[in-house]
Amino acid sequence: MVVLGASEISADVYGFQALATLHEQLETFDHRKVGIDCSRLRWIDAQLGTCLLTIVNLSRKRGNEISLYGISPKVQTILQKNKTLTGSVADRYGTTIPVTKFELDAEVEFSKYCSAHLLRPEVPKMSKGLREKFLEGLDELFANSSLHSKSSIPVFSGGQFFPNRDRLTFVISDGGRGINGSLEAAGFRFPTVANSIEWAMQMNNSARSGDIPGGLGLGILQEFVRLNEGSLIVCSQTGYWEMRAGRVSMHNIRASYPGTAVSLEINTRDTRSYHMKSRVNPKEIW
Amino acid sequence: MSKVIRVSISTIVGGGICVAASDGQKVHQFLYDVIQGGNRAEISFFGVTRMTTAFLNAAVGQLYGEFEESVLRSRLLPPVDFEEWHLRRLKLVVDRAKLYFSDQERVEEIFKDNLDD
Repeated sequence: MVVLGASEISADVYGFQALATLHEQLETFDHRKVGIDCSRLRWIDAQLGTCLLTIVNLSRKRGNEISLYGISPKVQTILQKNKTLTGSVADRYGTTIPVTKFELDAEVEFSKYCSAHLLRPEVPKMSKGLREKFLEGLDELFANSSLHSKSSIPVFSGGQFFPNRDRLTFVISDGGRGINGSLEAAGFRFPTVANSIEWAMQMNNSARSGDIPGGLGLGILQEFVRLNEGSLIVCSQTGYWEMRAGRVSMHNIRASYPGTAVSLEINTRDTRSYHMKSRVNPKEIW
Repeated sequence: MSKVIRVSISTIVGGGICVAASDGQKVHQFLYDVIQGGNRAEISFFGVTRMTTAFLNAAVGQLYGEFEESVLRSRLLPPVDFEEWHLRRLKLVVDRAKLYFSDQERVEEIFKDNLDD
């Protein structure tokens, strides 16, 4: 039995620290029946069910059978509503985007899933420009997992609307080698894992070398979130990077998250047009 | 005499969701054959509703590692059937590819040097 020590798992540095610690505990088991004692847990942000599934599925891949014990009715309801856990609990207000798994090469299916859920009637009304930028950001994130993570398990994604706060949040979690792992494989070295995330977030920086250039997706996303006054969190191995209200902070966490989780939260009331004033001349592309 | 061949991205990909690098490879192969055959390509964005830089890097960016920029200027015509956002993303990817391939080793070396500081 392992104990999930946190009483609250939110999308912040403490929440990811708790998830990474759970992963490290589970990593010590192979081909065993392992129970996770959740009796201390009073709250989990629903979209972090994606991370829980990444952790549990990696452990299952090691031949373990995982069961949850002592889970409070409130937490169970949260995780059943968004399909992290099985069981039929209706999402009465339609505020969840169900946690769904995608193979690494399922980029098109992922795009369709995002569109389908953002166009639901109960989703806060967003400007066309904002919706398109958000979808583009999600597509870029999935493309990154697909190209770089080498995850041995599917990618998990899910989200949550907060109508009262005009917020919409989405998490994509893979169980791969992490941003630093991908950069190390390309020959890059950084003082800390958080530094490697900070480097990867900048426009034009990429782990890619060889025939195909890269390094634009995360930069585009960061620029969008800054303008939207949303927030962006990247937790990868022992690195934690966060941008909130335009301010970036980084932390090194005490345990290692398996792969990379990105949490993207946007302000749905944003009415910015997102159309650049300057036009690109089609005759001057090449 | 070179021919002008319209390259419809959504037709090659089989839909308007152009997000996968593997689909970008299909477009790249088509463009490569047109250019290699001495013809000129006119890229059409008709029906493209979603597009990632990963797709465009594979479809177009890597051409700059295979052909001289002057060859691409003469073989790639201005795109057609586009919306403004298609062109902005295309321009971003093309500019990045030019930089990347202009002196690939040097660019990678600079990145590594900066990290060692």
